[in-house]
Amino acid sequence: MNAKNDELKVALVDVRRAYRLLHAYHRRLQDLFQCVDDFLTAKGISFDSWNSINVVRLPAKSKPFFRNWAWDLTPAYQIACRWHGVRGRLTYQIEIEAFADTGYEQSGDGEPDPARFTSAETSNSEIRFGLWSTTAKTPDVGAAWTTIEKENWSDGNTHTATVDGAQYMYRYGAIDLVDLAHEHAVKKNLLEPLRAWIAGA
Amino acid sequence: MLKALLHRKLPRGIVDRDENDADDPAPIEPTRREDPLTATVFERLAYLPPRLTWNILCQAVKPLADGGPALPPDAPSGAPTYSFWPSLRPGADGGNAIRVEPDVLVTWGDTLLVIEAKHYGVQWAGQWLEQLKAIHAMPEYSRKHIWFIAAGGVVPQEQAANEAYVRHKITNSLLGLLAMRWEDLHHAIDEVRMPNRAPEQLAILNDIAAGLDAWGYRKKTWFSSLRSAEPLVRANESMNVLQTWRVR
Repeated sequence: MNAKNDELKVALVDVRRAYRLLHAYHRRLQDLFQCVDDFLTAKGISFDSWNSINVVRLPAKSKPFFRNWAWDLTPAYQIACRWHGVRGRLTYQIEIEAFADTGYEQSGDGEPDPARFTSAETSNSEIRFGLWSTTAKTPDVGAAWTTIEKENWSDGNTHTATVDGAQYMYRYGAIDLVDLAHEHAVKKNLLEPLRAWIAGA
Repeated sequence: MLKALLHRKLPRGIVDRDENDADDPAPIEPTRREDPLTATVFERLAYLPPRLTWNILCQAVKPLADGGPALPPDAPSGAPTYSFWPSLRPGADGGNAIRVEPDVLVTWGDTLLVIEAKHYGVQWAGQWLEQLKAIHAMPEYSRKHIWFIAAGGVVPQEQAANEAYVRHKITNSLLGLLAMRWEDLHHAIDEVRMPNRAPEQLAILNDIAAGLDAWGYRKKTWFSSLRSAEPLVRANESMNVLQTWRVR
């Protein structure tokens, strides 16, 4: 019993340290998104919305959160952010997602079990972006996606679709967070692709 | 008030709903508003020794356009007088029919600082012009060297055009146009936020920095520094222990 308690004591030290490390991660993630927001705002493309991908929503105040998945307490594990803007004749939608752990796997109907994830060492933490531009005045990227998702959309090339006579362009990219370690790397590997997309390159 | 905000003690309803978003009945967080930011920063700059405030501003502002006049390094003589959101009569040919309201005016010896603050929104040269016309119509400011400071919301690629627009409309050799990023103000504050500074000054500087942090203008932290966080003791073993730990 004592040995088990000792093990648990050490494990809980790790939990406390993990939370402190998570705060440091979240701080940097927020700063990275703010950097993107500053960049896009200066281009006339403004923040639209964000959401947590692996958490449907935080349990409401009146709901017993302890009956939900424990993942619901980790809303920043996978997050998505969206910006919108009109420049000239094109409307832009920029989607950026942060995946803290590509090892996350949702298999079966139950709550995803981290013990069955790909090992942390062989997984990545990455930023994924989906860049849209369209000639539609009232864009429906969902309709365009039904065409583009049938293609090899994640190959880094520009894919096109036509919906109601309007043309949609889409490009996907993924960047390991290791390659976004400092300001220069963020400019080169993340902001430059955004700039090129907005410039029509 | 600032401490109440920083410790999340202010009710959300303390500020209005967003009048531009009829679908969202939720009140706007104070930190999305520019007026509380203006008050947080400039009220406290007014409490500092004038020379220190001037030095901070000198570090934080830049000429709006390349080659434009920069704020001189020496503070004006005398003590500054701050007025927040003064209601001015529109100047000659002014577009505003009733009143013009800069965010802050600082009368300081032979100098007048005119500060227009933005948060989320962008600076607009037409608004600057209205304010400058109103000020030019006031005899008490006619011989002052006027520095217009666009605080926040400056779009870099529009700065030269904005400068040209104002210069075209107003011919005054005693007018300087400056831009200030809130992040640069934070940096200027950090530069003078030394432990050996007088406690009362340090408290004010710490409050300004905390206010800028709260409005999102904090110094950015990059992922390259993430390793400085304390390493876990033995993460895999800990995970196994917790996986087998059940209260029922």
